[in-house]
Amino acid sequence: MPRKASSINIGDDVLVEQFKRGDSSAMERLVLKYQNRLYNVVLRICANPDDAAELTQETFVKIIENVAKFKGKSSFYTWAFRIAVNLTLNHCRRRARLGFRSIDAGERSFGDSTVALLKEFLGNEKSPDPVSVAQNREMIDIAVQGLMKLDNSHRTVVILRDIEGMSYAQMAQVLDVELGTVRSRLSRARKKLKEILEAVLE
Amino acid sequence: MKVNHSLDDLLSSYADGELSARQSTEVQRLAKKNEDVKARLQALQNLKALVSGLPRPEAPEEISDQIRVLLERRTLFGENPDDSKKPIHQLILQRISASAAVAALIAVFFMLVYSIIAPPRSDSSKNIGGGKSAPMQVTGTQAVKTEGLAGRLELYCSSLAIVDSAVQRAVEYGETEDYERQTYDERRVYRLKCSRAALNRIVLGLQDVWPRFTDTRLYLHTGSFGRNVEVSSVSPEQLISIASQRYTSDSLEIARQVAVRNSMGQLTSTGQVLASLVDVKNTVPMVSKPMLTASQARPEAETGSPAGEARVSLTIVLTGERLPAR
Repeated sequence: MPRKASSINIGDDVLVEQFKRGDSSAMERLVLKYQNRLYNVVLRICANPDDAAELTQETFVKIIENVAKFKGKSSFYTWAFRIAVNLTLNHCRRRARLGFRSIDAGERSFGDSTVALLKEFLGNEKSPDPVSVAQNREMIDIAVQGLMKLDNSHRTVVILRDIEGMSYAQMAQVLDVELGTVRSRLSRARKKLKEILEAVLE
Repeated sequence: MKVNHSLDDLLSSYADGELSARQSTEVQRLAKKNEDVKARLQALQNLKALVSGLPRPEAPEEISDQIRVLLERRTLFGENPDDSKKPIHQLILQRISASAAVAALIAVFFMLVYSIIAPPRSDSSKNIGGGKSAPMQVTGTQAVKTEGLAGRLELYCSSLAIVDSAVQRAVEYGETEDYERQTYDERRVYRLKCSRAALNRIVLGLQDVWPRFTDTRLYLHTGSFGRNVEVSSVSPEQLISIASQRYTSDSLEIARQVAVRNSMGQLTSTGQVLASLVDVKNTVPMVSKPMLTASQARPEAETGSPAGEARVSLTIVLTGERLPAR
């Protein structure tokens, strides 16, 4: 399988150049490489799977339409996420203006095991296994609702860092802000998120 | 509070591994000395674990499918990434043109498919009633499918009304199973689909009115595109002879022989035959007498024979105009 391995290792810049020269398969590789990662970020920002699918697709359309303008000053990775985040935040603002609510943020009660697990995550004891979150539907709902109660800019930094795993420098490029802004914004976002989740336990 | 914010930023950055080595050492030293700092740091790490533990669903397959379609379309239309530099109206025009081209291609494709699968038309001389008579053309496919005779009989006369009623009676007398009659200014067009026996009956019915025709012409399709056998001054007997052959190829052969014979007769009567003979330096082929069959005398006897059952697709054009110049 050396051929497959070598094709996987082709850098984004090379694929972009190949696509610019008319090789559609290069863009297909980029789509396959990033579609899940973009989709997850978009999904966690807008909290609607249908909207997320549409926005992810729109992101790739914009990438294809604007790739000639991409001069490589930033990486393709941050450029693609910048397009996706901008599209998604515009979408969120539009929905907010129209009075949509992305999820049911109303009050609801949770099972004892969920409440106990949440206490563990919000406590200052040793961190519980993150896999336990994925296995608990209610915990997922709580975390998603908590994220959705953050304002857009705070929610975005948390997601880019803790879900996509971007560095601060990459986030600064995606959000077009200073590195220090990313640092402070992320810190405030986490503090706010903790307060929101603690309110669930009260 | 400013100091607290700074500590929060520092702890958050430490949890993310975004501090320099010196800053990291400083935070570790603080956490060791201060239980509150240690607790806040642990709480931050737990919160990170909660968010990063959220499931990561896969993107729907439609996304890559749609993108693939978009890419294929761009490849098909020859769009390239540099298109983004063009003005928007130019792009719109380009896309409209591309769409029109695709629509045209699809239309041509369906026309081709239709021409292959469509049933043969009963009459391929659509323009007969509308304009001057022109030799009818039939494709090889149609001729093969007809498996019989196909052609056009042009009858010229001066008294259209009288002759037309006679033709109509003859057609009805022939018990033609499928015919239609169309009326134009100085023309009457009969489109017939019948057996050869029925055609014989029609021609017999026309015998009385035949002297009223100022000219008669028969065009038979050969099956080769654009090549018809044209028989001028065709008589009812010749028509019956042509139509009564067992095989289409025989009918066409008879028609060719009759055509030559009738042409020779016209040349002889006008004194042109000598000139023709001089021109071709005695190379005029000898034309045998047409192989008129017994059906010429008794066309009714053909009813029920294999030849009588063969199909005929004939358009009779009755014209009250002056004979067009040849």
